[in-house]
Amino acid sequence: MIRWTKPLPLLPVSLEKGRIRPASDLIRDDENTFCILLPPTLIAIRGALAEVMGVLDPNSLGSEERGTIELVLAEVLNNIVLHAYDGDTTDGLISLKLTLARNGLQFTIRDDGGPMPPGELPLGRVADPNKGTMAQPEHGFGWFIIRAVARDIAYIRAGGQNTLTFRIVARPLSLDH
Amino acid sequence: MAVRDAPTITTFDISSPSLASTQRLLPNGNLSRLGSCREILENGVQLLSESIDGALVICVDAPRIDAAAAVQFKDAMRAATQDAQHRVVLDLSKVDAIDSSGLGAIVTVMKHLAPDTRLELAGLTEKVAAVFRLTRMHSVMTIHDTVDQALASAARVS
Repeated sequence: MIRWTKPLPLLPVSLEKGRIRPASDLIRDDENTFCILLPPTLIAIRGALAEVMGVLDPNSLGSEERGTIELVLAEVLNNIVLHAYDGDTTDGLISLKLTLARNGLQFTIRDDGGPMPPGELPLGRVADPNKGTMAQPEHGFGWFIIRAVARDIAYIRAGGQNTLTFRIVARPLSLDH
Repeated sequence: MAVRDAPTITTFDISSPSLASTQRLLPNGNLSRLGSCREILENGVQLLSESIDGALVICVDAPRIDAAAAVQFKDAMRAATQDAQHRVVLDLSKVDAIDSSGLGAIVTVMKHLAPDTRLELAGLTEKVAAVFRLTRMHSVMTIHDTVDQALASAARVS
């Protein structure tokens, strides 16, 4: 199983001092859960990614898997900051809950920004080797990456909040035997 | 032997609103890990460009080309490639991570330079290469293992 690098605090790690509003489901329920709160800014995302990657024990997870987890998390958080909020406001709060699961990681990410457009979640876009330079997409890679890597992606809008849940299958390094 | 001009340095800084918000995040220095973010902000990010054997080689001196840096990266690349001729080689060997915004910025630059100038990449680190594979962009752009190999491949063609 994937491990933490260290024993984790009971309360969520907050990158937003002075405005801690831990919802009851963000208080750590067991030793397999890590929570973090951040303001909706692109710079705060860098800090959050560093925190999350910092608690995942590199001895229990390959570098390729670590890179994939960091990338998907960056894409999800970027989408929230750029689309649910206006890109650079500090008025808002994103919470991220990470749970170690038997075959990978389970994520619950919640924000109080605007809703996703109605209908299905975006498919995303990807480069097409059969097309010329000018026909290649400049946007939409994010959702393509999320869908390519994450499993069981679910989105709920309720009570003025967005909740996105998904899991990432990651095979732990077998150092235990 | 490669002919090297004096390198030109273009600096681009992360926008000031972000800086303000980060300082707000650090009221008493308790969150030391966020210090690294501020360090990135204060240092800015640099493009070092050099003309070698007719190719413009641009090294991105930044740990990340992410959503926070994408706009500034695009602007700096436009400025740095104004006098580019046939070929620009983007050296990414100092870049540890890229996200979809960074990738989109590189595609924008590629399209901006086309068709007269070709944008090629060199020195992709592990995580950066994975993003190019995942989005199939590796089959659309020319990617070299190193800048030296990029320059050697042009020498073979000509």
